[in-house]
Amino acid sequence: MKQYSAYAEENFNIKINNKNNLAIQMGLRYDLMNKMKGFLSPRINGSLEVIPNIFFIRGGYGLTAKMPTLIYVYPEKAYFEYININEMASTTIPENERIIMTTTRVFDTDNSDLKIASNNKSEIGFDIQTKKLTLNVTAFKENLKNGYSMSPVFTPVIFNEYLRASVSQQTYFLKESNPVLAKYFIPKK
Amino acid sequence: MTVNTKGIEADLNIRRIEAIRTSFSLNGAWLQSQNYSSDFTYFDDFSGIGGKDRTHIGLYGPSMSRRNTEQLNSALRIIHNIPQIGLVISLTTETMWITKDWYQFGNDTIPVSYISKLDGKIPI
Repeated sequence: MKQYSAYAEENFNIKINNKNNLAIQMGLRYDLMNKMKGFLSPRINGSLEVIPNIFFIRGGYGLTAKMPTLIYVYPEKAYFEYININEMASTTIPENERIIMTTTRVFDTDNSDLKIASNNKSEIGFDIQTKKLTLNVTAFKENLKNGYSMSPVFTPVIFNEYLRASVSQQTYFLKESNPVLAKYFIPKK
Repeated sequence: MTVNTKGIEADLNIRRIEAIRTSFSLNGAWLQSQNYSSDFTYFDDFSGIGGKDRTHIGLYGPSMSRRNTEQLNSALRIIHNIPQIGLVISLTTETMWITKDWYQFGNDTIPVSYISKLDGKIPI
């Protein structure tokens, strides 16, 4: 797994009315991971000095990307063993004639539609600083979308079950053929 | 999966009061969060292990169940200094005022569709 990231940031300080400082911090991050699309995440934070050195109002907005972990990018294949016939537990069939037959089905669990999870956060708050105390209050709201999870999928399989004709006769016939569903989990947003 | 969270955090620090050689720190947070999957919610409880006991799979609407949590907590820390013996004592008390956890269901009585056991498709 390879991940490349680049980040740039700039800080501005502007004086309003020659006394109130407005500090703005802007950043831009770019993430690129193999098998995933690139993701651009901007952020901006500002703090306005309402009463010099005492009272500040802040606000911020940012988008962050959460890259998937290895299991979501390269999930393991799903294996199924369908038992077509199993005579091992039989007490009547001679031991050297007992048979077992299974069908192995393997499914790819790769999901190329997986999107990069992103978190959108905005916040607003204020800071008070005096010689005696400091007070910081922040209200925020965030929204995570395309969060990773493993979700079930159901793939149709024809499941054949065989039966030995009789104890003395080593011939086999199809007892049942049923449509079933193989349930396994694939990474989803 | 979608997670929506909102909250308020507050942090109050009272600097060392020399008369009692003590400082105080109080912080609190209130958080409310909701998470849900945009996928179908499926029902597969009547199916058996054998091939002929396989049933179709019922599907409820997307985002049918949403989990909500809410919490309110605070922490108070008092730090006192006794210079004569070079000792600092700190007392911390944390309180969970609210911890709530509940589910919100949409139409959970009647499935709106199904996954066919014959071809694995959703007929509409």
